[in-house]
Amino acid sequence: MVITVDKTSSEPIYLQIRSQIIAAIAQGELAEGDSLPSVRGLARDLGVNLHTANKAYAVLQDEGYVRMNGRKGTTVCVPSHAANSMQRQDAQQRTLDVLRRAVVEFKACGGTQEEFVELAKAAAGASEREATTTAMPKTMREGE
Amino acid sequence: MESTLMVWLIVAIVPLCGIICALTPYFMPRSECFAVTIPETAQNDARVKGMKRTYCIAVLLITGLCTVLVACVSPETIKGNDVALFTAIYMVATLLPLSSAFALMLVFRKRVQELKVQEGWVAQQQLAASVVAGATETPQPLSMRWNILYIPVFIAVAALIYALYPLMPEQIPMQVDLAGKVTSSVAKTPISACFPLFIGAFIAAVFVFCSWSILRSKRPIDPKRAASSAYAYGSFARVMSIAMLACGLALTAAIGMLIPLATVGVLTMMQAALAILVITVVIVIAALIMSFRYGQSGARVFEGVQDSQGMVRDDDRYWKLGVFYANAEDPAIFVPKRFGFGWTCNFARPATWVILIGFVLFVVAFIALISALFR
Repeated sequence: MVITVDKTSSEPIYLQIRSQIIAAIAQGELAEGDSLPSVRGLARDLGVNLHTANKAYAVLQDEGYVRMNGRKGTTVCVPSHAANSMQRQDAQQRTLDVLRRAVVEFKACGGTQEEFVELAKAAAGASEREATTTAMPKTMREGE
Repeated sequence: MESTLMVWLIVAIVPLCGIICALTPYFMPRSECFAVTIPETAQNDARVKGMKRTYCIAVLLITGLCTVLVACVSPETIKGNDVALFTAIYMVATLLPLSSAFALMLVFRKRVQELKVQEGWVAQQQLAASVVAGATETPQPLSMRWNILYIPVFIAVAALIYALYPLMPEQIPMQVDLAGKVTSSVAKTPISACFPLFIGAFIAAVFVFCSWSILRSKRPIDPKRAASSAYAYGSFARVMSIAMLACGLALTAAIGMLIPLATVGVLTMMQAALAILVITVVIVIAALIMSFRYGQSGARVFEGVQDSQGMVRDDDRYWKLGVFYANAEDPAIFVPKRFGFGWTCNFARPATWVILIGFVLFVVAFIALISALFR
């Protein structure tokens, strides 16, 4: 799995890292228990501030996608496998929030409920297909 | 016979180093030319090709000239005459190809920069990539644990010194000239007999530091071909770390074994020096072969792969004079060189200066210790 960041993008770098790790989990590129590089190593390779890499891991940890095991390092954590039911609920809640916001905007533009469901299905299908293509940040951003 | 071989081996280092310098543009990644980021496809531009060729020929000519110059004074040196003249000419002959290569690089760097503006080669993005998982399949540099191998070498050297101690003369030679004459010596004591161990420890420390820096370096990954560029850099870093370990072990063992053997007269001082010189020449030849086979950062591992269009990033502004990297925002201390083979430091990081000053202090302390113990 490769993380690519674009320093000219308006999206903050730590969010670029975050969304790519989440996408890799969604596509099965990263599995439960896979180890991730150290904050220091990731920052060095990407040429970004240590603080930036730390922020990305902190957000992922809060969202339940990674586990920081102190000296053992950071490992991937698939929320559906999470022992913590609160984290599972959190993940669902976040998706629901995003969907609600999208529905409101879609309705304001004159769309119907059926059309929205169709589009959501298409988007879900597209994210499945992306699993076979390389993870470039642009496609990641569109998927968000 | 020995002094003949010795002088010619010393002479051989001049063309070998010159050839490495001359071929440097061809060892660099295709996204770089004279320390300037360019699109890979621009490597096929006639002007770019021409500049690389001109640089190469010029450095080769200067190297050839220097080699002939040293070779001319060599026969007299072998007879034991004109050693000072040889030393002076040799200094010039080693430094001239290096400094002219650097000057020529700056000239062509300027020209490539102009060409870049003229052709509108601009990076639309500033991409950087890191291989996060599946890294076990890409080659990795040797871990620091391999440096444990120095311990048996030191034990062997210590054992040899212990065994030979009774046979050593009352005055232990410390320095010999090109003709094999002893120019400085110290009284025999257990500490002065351990002189090879001190030298070995110094060499080992330098090589262990090099392997550590390889492990801590930034890994340059091309986002457009992440897997293959990670593989190429991984192979390069691995082979370099193996070479570092091999050189360190060979030099530590050779110096540690040969000096005591020469002290008791099993070998002459000349033979010992000759053996160490042979190792040095082998190391330089190995460096040439490795640069040819792998290229800087593994640039030649996937040779012949289709050139990519455009530029994924452009960090030229952080490369002062094409060789000094200074980027305060980059946490990396060690980065692959922009023009040359191997690694350099990020001079905008305080940690780099701590390491550099630490290294200077280490060398000064070592020299002070040696002169205090062996005077």
